[in-house]
Amino acid sequence: MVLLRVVGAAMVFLAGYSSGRVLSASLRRRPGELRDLQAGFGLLDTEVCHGLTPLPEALARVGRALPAPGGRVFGEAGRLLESGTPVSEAWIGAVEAFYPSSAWTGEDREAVASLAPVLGRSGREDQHRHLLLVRERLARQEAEARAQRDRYERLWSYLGALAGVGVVLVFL
Amino acid sequence: MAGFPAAVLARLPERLRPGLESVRAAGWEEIRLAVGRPLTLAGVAGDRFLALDGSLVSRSDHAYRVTSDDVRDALQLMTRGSIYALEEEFRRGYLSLPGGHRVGMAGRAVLENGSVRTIRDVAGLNIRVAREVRGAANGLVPFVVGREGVRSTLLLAPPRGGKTTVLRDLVRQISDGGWRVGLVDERSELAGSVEGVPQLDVGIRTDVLDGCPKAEGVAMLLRAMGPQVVACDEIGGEAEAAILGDAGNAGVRVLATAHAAGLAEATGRAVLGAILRSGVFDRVAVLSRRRGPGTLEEVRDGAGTVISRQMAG
Repeated sequence: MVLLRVVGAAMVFLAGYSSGRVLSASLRRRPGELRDLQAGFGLLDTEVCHGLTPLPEALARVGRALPAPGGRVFGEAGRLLESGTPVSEAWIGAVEAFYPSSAWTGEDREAVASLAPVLGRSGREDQHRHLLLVRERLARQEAEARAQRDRYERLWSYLGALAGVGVVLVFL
Repeated sequence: MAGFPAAVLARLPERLRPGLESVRAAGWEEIRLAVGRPLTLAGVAGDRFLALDGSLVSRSDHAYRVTSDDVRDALQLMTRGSIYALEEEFRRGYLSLPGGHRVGMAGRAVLENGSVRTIRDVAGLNIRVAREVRGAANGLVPFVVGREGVRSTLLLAPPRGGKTTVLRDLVRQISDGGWRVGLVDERSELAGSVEGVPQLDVGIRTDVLDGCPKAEGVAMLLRAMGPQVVACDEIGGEAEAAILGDAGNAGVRVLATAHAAGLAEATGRAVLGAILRSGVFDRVAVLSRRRGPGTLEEVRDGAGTVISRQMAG
């Protein structure tokens, strides 16, 4: 009887602890995903401004080089473009398709989507400027995301664990 | 009869395609899109306007009005959304599509140090449909190819006179006939190359330098490819004159074209006249549109003596 209680209490505690972990997961993932995005735009900059690679190929290449979800956005945009979708629609469509599975905030999504009206639509220097701006913006958001993670990640874990303990105490 | 080439239709906005697909393409040379103006087809027999259902009308108010979205979408399809990769083309004012079709652009020019850097706010597109006419040079070949080999030949014609079509077929026939030909295709119109590979038949022994300025291109071919014949379209610059002279002196035969309605007009031009007087060319052929583009009007030798002349009418 006692053994059963102990096992039950342990399970309730674990459930609380892991739900804290889950809640803090997007906090933990966001800085890395933002860093991937910056790397992606850096690659795109190279393809566009130095390689003069046509946009569908350039996007596909970046898509292959980058982990999800950033890589999926580039890859999907390239695929849509290849099938004849206008650039701005293709880019927005790709962002919307993979935003739900990402750890980005609305602000991050907006920074990425802000390229839609300009991508591919001007000369090299102008493209370079736009891509640089997005990278700078993402870098600022990454720094902020790191600070948030350091502050709240442990908090969420502790809260989860505490909630688990609380529930266990109530049932005892 | 076939419609417009797929390479052209695929680069126009979807809403325009059904109408254009139902038009028989024969006889039409250009599709014109200008913001706020009727969708226009231009051809041998003049201009006609096009409605979206594909009917050809002569009154402009019955035709489809081109919108700025049409031009923007077409440009995006033509550039594959990559204007940055085509800075040189925008500076020159035209794009080349796969298959040798050429798209002229009208819009607002952006200047840098007094010369055109690019075109912004493109508002008009003029799509010149390239046509490969095998046998277009049949009438000319006997005058160009003789017992002593290929004779250096200059083709003269007014704009849209069929120069490019005839030169392409001449190059094809000479190349297939056993000569190594080096072709400098500055505007990608002769060979219609895509990623360096000719899409139009320019002969089995033809090396194509695609998108290369003519003077530099001829020099590169002479150095690297060992051609017996070099060919290029629309000469007229001094650098071109010099390098073509060099080629002639090196025993390489030259095939070229130039804008001019006849020999007298050509001789009157500073550079072109100098080239003609230098004796590089053994034959000068004049073409016209009298019986369709590429009609052979007369052939002269290098000294200007008429060898053959079609009687007018």
